[in-house]
Amino acid sequence: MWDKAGIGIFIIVTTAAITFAIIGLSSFMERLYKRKDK
Amino acid sequence: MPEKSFEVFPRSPKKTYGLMELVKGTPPGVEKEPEDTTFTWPNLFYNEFLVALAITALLLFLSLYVQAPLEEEASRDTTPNPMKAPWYFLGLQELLVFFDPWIAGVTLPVLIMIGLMLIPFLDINPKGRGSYTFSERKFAVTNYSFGMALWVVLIIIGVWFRGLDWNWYWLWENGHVHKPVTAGLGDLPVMFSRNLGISDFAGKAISDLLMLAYFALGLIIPAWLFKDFFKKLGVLRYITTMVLFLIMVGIPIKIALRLVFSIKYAIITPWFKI
Amino acid sequence: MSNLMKRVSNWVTSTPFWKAVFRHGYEDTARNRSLTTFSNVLYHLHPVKTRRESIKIRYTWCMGGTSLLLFVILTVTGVLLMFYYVPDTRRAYQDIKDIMTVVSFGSTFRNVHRLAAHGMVFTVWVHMTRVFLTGAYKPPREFNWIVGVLLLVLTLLLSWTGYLLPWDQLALWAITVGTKMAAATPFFGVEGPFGAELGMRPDNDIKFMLLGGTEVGQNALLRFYVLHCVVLPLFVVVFLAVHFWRVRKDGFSGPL
Repeated sequence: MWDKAGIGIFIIVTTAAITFAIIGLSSFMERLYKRKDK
Repeated sequence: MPEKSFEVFPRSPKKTYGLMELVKGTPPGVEKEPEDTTFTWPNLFYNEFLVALAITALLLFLSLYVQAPLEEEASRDTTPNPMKAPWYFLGLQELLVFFDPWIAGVTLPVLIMIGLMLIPFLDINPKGRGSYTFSERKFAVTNYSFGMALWVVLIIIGVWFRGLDWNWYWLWENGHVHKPVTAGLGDLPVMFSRNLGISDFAGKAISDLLMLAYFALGLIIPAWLFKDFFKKLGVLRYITTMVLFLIMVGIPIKIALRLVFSIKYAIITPWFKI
Repeated sequence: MSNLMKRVSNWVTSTPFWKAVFRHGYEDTARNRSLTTFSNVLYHLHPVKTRRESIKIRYTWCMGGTSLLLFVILTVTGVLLMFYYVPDTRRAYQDIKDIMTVVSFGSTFRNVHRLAAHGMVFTVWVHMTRVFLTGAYKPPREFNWIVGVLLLVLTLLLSWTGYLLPWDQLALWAITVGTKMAAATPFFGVEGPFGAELGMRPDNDIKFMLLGGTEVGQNALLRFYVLHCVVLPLFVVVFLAVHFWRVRKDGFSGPL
């Protein structure tokens, strides 16, 4: 039972982490280029 | 009066045939303004050359230490356990746990490919073309990131968390010890008919209706909540986008159903099962 | 002494032969800079002038170019490996062992080939992500994005067909899993939905076509070898040509 919960948590956390990592990358690059233009 | 003949493209010692000529002036790029440009040679080529040099050097250096694997000779008598595909296909192989081979191996990959190809036709937001932006393209970037994250997570699971008999092995567990076979999985229609005390047919009907409701509500509710979005996309684009989105989100939902309720199939027909 | 060298080099570079091969000098004039890019068959993939900002790697991370570089490295090391490998189930495995042990620099080439192969799959994914995050698929570049997706599929297929060639346990069973999934294709596979109804049998369905038989054997090895070394690379080259052509014609998005 705890095993399954652990698996579920792992999947949710890792998926969220990677999703936010890519979104964060996009945001970061946006800010980087905005600074250069302005 | 006979017309004076003339050469449309008069020959000139400067011209090469192909109607391309080296002239003084700025190049006619499709969307380029004659702004701050500089010569490609040597500047861009220097950078490209440096990158090429660095990567080749890295490869040669790594090849000294990382040996390409070579296991025992192929033998039809012994199957390696676990039998793993190359890492870039482990995402699909992991899906095999939760879906039938025709879905995990054929339908989903084809849908992923078609979905990717359709992106430029479904994403009609003119913002962000040619620049990094998240604030102007939240829906698109979030969707892409989520899809990519799912793909990567499935690969991670397939590489590091699947061991003997394709069971789940945490990193600290002994990978050489077989795990006991756990309790079996049930099908959703059967679970309904057994737990609610109704006929098999009714159980099937409820499961099918739930699946239909998932798609129907998934299509109707966002259109009602985000009318702007729906109007801008138009019916065809909206339906295509939302169906693909619902299928993509359906994958973790199916995984959750399996983990939490031990459900194997939700839809059962004589020809295929989902 | 240096005077003599100078006179000799001046004479050499003024001969008709030299001028026929090298059509312009290397003195730093604007004209020469243009001609270097313009008159070289490989260089003229690039525009003669580029925007100053774009010279930096920060926008593109150079992933597309790296993928191309890895493809070239794979071709070179692949050809070298082809000299020592025969796709015969009776000797393929031993050939690989020979490459890794006896052939001079054999292990280097095989390792580079395999690292570049995995690397190319990775850089192509990152390239796709970069193109997506910079919106460089929006009109008028939709077609090039589709070509890119096809190139991604070709890259994965190249990797997969190459996987079988060492004929070891990993190869045989990885391909067995893959072709079992092919047998489950709807309509075209004998074990897929509606397959049997459409007349698919084990000896005429899509799995049979892939393997040249009902199991992964000599026919499959030969087919995968030809696909891996000839057919798929040809497709990649054609699609790459279209891919670059479209980048030049539509112009590079963004600062570059």
